[in-house]
Amino acid sequence: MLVAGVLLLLLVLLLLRVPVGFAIGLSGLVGLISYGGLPVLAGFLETVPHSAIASHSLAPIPLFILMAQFVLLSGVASELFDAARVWVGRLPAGLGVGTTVSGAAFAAVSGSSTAAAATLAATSIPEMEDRGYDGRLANGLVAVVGTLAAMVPPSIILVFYAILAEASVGKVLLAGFLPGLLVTLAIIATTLLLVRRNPDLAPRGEAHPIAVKVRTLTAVGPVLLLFALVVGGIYFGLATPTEAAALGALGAFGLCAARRRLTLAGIRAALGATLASSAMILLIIMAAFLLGYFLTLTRVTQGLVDTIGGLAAPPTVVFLLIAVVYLVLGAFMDQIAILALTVPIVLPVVEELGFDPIWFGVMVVLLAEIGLVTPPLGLNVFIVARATGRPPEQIFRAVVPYIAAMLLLVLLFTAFPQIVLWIPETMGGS
Amino acid sequence: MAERMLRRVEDALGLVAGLALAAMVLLMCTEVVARYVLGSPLSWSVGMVSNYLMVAFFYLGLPVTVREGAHVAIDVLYDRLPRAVQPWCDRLAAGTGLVFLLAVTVGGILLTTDVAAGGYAPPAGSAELSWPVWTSTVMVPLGALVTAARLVLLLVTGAPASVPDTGSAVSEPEVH
Amino acid sequence: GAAPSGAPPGVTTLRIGDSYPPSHPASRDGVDFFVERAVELSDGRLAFDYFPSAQLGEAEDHVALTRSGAIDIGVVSPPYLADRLPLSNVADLPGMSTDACRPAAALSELMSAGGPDGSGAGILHTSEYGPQGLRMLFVGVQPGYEVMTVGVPVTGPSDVAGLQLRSSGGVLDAAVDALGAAPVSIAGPEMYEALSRGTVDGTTLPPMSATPYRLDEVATDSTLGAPLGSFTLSYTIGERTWRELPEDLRAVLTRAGAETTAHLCRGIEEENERARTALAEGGLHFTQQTPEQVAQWRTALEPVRGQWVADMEARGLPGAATLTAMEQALATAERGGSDG
Ligand code: NA
Ligand code: NA
Repeated sequence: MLVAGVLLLLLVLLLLRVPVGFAIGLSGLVGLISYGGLPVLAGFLETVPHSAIASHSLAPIPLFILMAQFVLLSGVASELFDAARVWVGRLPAGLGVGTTVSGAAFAAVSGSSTAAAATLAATSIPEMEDRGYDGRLANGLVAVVGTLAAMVPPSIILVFYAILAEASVGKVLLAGFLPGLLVTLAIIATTLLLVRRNPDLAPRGEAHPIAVKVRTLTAVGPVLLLFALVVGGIYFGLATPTEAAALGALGAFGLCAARRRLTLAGIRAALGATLASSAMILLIIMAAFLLGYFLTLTRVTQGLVDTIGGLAAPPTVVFLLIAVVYLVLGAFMDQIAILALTVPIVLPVVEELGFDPIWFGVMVVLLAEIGLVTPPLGLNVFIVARATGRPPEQIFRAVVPYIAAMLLLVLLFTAFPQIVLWIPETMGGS
Repeated sequence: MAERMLRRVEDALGLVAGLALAAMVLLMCTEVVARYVLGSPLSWSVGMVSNYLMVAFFYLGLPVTVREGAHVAIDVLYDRLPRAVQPWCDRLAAGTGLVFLLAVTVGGILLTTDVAAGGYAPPAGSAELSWPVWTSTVMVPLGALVTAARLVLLLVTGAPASVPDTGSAVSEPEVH
Repeated sequence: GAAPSGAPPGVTTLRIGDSYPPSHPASRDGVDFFVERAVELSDGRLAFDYFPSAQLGEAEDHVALTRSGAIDIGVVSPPYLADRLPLSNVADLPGMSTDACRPAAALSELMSAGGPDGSGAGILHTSEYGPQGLRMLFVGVQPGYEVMTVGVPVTGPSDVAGLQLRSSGGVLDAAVDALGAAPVSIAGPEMYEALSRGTVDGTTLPPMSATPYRLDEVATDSTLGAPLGSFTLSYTIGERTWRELPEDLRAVLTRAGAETTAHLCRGIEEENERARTALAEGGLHFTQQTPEQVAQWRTALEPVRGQWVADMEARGLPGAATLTAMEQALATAERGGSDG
């Protein structure tokens, strides 16, 4: 009852155009004080605002956004898209497919869905729109591609799951690989299907002779170098994923210098744009902690899970009900908070039903990632909306087909868990 | 008059936030070099990034971003409301933000007075910087209070507190 | 105080919060055991609502949460709170003890809030827990920090010099430093990747903390019996909640707490043993340190205690008195913990 009231308040505030971070924050305050009075509210107000932000694991968000801003400033981004446009030629939705593939690669490296979405929104959406792509398609596509970050290693969120579940970290990370690839393919297939039904969404380019194609490759070099710096930094043990984000930002700064694009005004604009996007994301994350702790205290999640776990239904049906709970939580809460709150409660139930904990980790992350683009609180959608100035509800509508495709994958992985478990079982060693 | 003074404070804090971001990049890159090339890591860098640079970047940068309307909102219903009602929604937005940020200010003051009164600091000899804890926590009430002041101004003038719905490509506010 | 809903009349429900997963001894042999005893001893007049796994905040946040009454009973882990509760790290100093029960019994004396009038309160209560508005109910010590490395077998302290070791802060940093190694701070969730990719040479952890991170998959070698230090954790009740409770329920909590301290230390020792076996089966090679090597470790780590006392005194804190009290309590504590 209390929970319903607080969530209703949140919905009303959001609909009346209260900024998302403020709306979540106030709902959290109202929830905490109605639940336990002033002592409870004071306790969480003393801890959350500082400790939610004083967090090393949030640092990649501003760092990767800054990298994207410097890549934009260097001018290399638009040349890269020129190259992509020339090379994909007359392929249908070529640029969209190219964006998905390069975005997936970047998301894979960044390990943070929000940072990936913010970076791609700044670099690729303006280019796609300039080339005649439908704005809503471009925005929706980028919001969805960002969610790949948590599936493909390195993934902070999969490691976090493994630690909570006391499962093999190595196996959980390996298990994310094939599903991540399949989600990428599903996004590409959805884009192609959408464009086929409505060719106006993405114009065909023109064919170019091979000489022109080769000439465009000069822009690809620096970007590949930057990419190698970030990926190589992580894979060769030079840097942790967080530090790799800093290397990327410095590398992109160097790229600007090398191309003589550095001006004081340019640097200021890059820092200012990074601050604007990051502050919005971090405010939502901080406020979501307050709301999340209120939901935890009320034990709604636990009650739901207990009810579902006690059902005398086939295991698959019970799991699908649990999946619905995760989708709903994903609509309201931060992923890390969702995992901390639910895994200790849900995992025993799931194991009792005969499911594999490694498989379940991949499923939970996939579901929470879908939550990042589902209304009313799809953080990735807000990030893209923030970067492009497009109304969030337009982007929410544009991601619906992609959500459908990802839900089909959820069903596929439920029917055939071997798809998820194949790599970790064949390569995972002992 | 009050507006101009507030603007100066916001800009000054925003500048510190920008410097914190730059410092974050340089510190982490230095740490990689120190560890990998020189073999002697800066053991304090994680604490520096989380307790100082992230906190300064967010809390000192927040006021400018609220002034520039960097915080997204959902327009779907707002756009269909009568023109006379829309300013009231804008006031509700500023009011909501004001209540939230005042609460954060109070929480930050509770925390800061507690750690300052106790004289807490990481002990010397541990890898962390031995700076008093309040030097980190004080940025919470400071940033939240300045943001709240801006929201009071928005409440009075009735200007919207979210991204203007331009539908155009990237339009980033600048830190001046 | 009392939770707003659900509890029948006459039943007081207390919220417990900590940062440990339900399978951790602190949760299983600590909180679960404590709850069971307190419910039994109070004939069901006490009920508990338990939030494990940092569901209500990070480990460091639980001091403020408990003091304010947001939760009634909260975990306090001094190693995470070296800024607020520096003296309470005394049991974690290198070479203090390699088992779990004796230091827990000693600490329960030092952290005791004493009688109803405060008489007989321990030095850690009067100087740290009390001023924080907290009363210790039960305490545990995870002994046995070892050096775990990738590709570098460690047979004595000299092998550690020059290595870069992930360290979790506080007194442990000083120990790593004293060995001539460089402490690197890396967040827990990033430790696996950092070890597997060679970002650091190794880490320092007790076996039972290494299992959840699955370090057997990435580390190759570990010491066994190196007296590097321990990890203290305690569960405390907020003074505000305490004062609202009737006399008899306070007595129940005190007794259940003392029994839990005695029970938890055995749970921790068993878990450490289990974890060591599991890690060994997972491919982590343990090198048992010989008595001569243990003596070498002790010599190498000797300066840490003196430095710790000097640092505390420089801050105006009774470091020397606390260390003396700890050493005396350890000497008199018998295996099996305090009276139950
Ligand atoms: Na990733
Ligand atoms: Na969502």
